[in-house]
Amino acid sequence: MLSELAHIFLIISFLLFFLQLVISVDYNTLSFRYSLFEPIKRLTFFSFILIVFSFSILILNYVQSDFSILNVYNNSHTNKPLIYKISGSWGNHEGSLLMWLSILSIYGLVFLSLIKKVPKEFSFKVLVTLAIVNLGFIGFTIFTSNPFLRTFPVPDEGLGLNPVLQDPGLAFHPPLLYLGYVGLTIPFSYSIAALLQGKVSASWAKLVRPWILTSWIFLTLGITLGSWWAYYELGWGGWWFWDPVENVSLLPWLLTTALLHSVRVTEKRDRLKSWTILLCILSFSLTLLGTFIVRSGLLTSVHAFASDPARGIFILSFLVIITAGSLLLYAIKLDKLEDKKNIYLASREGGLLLNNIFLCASASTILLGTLWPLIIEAVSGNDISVGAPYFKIVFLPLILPAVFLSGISINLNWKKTNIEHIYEKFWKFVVVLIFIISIYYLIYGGPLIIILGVSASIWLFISIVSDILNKLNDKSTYSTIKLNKLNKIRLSSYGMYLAHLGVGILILGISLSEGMKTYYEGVNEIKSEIRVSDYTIKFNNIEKQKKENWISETGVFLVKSKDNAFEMKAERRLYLDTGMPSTEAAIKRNLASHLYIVMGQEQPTGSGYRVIRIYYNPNILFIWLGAVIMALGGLLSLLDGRLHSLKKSKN
Amino acid sequence: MVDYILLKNQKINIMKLLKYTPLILFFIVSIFLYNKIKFQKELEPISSALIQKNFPKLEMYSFKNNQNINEYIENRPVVINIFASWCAPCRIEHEVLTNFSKDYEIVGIAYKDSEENIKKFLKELGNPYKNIFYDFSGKESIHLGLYGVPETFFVNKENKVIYKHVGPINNEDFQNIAPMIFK
Repeated sequence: MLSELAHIFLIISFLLFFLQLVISVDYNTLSFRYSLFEPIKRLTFFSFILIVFSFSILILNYVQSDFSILNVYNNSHTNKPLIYKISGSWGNHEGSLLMWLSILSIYGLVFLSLIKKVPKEFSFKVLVTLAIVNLGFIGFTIFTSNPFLRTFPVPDEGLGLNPVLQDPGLAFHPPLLYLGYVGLTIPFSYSIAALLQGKVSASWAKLVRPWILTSWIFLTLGITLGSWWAYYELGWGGWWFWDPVENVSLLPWLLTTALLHSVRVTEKRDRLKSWTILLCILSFSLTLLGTFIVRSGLLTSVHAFASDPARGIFILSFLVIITAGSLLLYAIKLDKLEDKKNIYLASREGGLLLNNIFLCASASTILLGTLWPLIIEAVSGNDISVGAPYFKIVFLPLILPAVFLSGISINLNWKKTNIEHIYEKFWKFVVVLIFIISIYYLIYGGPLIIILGVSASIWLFISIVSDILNKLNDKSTYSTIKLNKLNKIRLSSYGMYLAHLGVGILILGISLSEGMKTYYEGVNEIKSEIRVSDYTIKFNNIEKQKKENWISETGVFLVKSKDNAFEMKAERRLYLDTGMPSTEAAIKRNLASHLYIVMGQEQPTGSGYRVIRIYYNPNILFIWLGAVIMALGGLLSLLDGRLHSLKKSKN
Repeated sequence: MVDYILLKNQKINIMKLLKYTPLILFFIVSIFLYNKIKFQKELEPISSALIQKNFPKLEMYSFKNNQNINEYIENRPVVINIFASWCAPCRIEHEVLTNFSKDYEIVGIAYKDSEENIKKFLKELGNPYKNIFYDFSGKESIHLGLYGVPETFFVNKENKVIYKHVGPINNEDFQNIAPMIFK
């Protein structure tokens, strides 16, 4: 009964949003009916609540293992731990769409609670945009992907969740990523509203920035968690595979990063307005494109679901209506927004502009690489795939200048910086950088790409320290540094430093681990010895184990290095409810470095030979550490805004 | 930034020209996307990157004795059918496979399924397969470029993929294609 109710809730909310759209416009004068603001607000509130209820009921169905629901039957099982029963509700196509909707509703409810701060006519237009987006997604859910379908006769037991997905990392990867993806709907609605108003101001930028920042934080965390999960669970020894689905999650992130910088320019200097608006529209469109690619199964990928052309057509039409509509509106209204004020290159905003160009260029190359197979197939009929080598070649030369530039921009002032001043400052930077890099090179040597990566991150560290020192500098004497000034620096500046520190650590992690990793793959019998890097690894024995829910084979490896010896266990599990195998890589951490062992199945059967893969990944932990620090930096900036408004309201 | 360029003494506003670029680029992209969906529906049955190539190395093992699929099909002309007990078209196709199971060696790959359900499925409909391999996670089938179940690969003695059929196969098609694996 409850699930029929949930289905009806969805249908009602669809009708309510439709009703809202119909009554929003006065058809005689073709203008908005602002007089209906209050009732429309209540209508929206009610629809959002209905959607959240609907998703809660689906979760409840999963918790109770109600196998009369087809979706629960396909994706759950009674002997699963509670957390995986709950995460099962979004670990499939239909449920994940409902989660998408309810996250959008929660964002919508937050927007409604803050609506007093936003001008009335403006928020009216935001509500209209939100209604259109909601209509599209609810329509998609109820017409092509209803999660509440019943099945009869009622099965006694569910089919189980894919064991690869039974992992705490992956239980939270989709919600975090969706919080980021869906969060971009609000900046999108804000820019559509601004375009309809024909006005973008610094105060608009101030209103929209926290929303962008929130999405950016969640996107960063979501992508990081996904990468970490792929690393330890899939057993491929890598952390990024340039898989189409990974690429389409990286694209909105790159654009949101660019957006975060350009909206700052709009807020502080009233410049780059049309650019900021365009980025808002494009980053949202890219999340739709991502949904389209994942949900239609267009590109072959590890994330592929069974393909369904009807779903593909629906999402594509929605994507075209939303994106083409907004881009057309953008083109029509652009003249009103255009700001003729100049930007000096030697200023903070100049640096941010250049940075934006590099970020967007790198996003374009990834988009091109991701869509290239489609283009080639359409033109010549050949199936091709674009792999990691392409992305590495095109992405690096575009992202590295962006990193160097951000180091410079941090040290520039808004408006205009004296050129001589810049020379004087960066001359010292270059000397410090060359000094550190030469020492590094003399000790470790190494290929050019590592040197470039390490330089980029050290450049960032120098820039951050220099800017902090500059702020601590006593302006009257110019030589002493006053530590008590530390608390005068705003929290948002600390957030900015922390986020860029994170970027530096991330790049350090990538260059050091990619440049120095070693890899072994081979067929080995028990008692054989393998040498990887400084480690001698002995394949000692295999333990077999039987648990309630799975049986396993565990390879025991005795590892010796120069200064210590330890044991590592790589496991293969067979889950009994679904019969699906899964690998658990053995990972030994040594500070930030990992020794990583994966044991394959016996080959051929009965021979005692096994495929063993061993990776030594030095400093790899810095990759995820850097990304988390970036997100923390974002959080600090976000808190600054909240604290500021709290202080204001107290006064 | 530069706002105007001069062309034959005419002032042309760059920004005005550029403002429709995002829209135009987006339309080009959506045409390719639409094309891909149409293409996928119409031409997929014969378009496969694997045709005339070796059947890929897969980490798939048999129910019976955990034998690797590549090991098993070595030196044998086989018809490899990807199926699942939960898949409705597979039930339709089952009869066709049963018809030909005496003349050809048909090998099954159980896709995103469980041993128990497959047993039930085969008990109900009969077993046309000489051997069944499992891909319960569905990950290995990615290497086959799987679009959805059922799909059927026709593989010759040298392990070259002669033909790939997407969707349930009928008697006529099977009759026409299958003899090619002996050539």
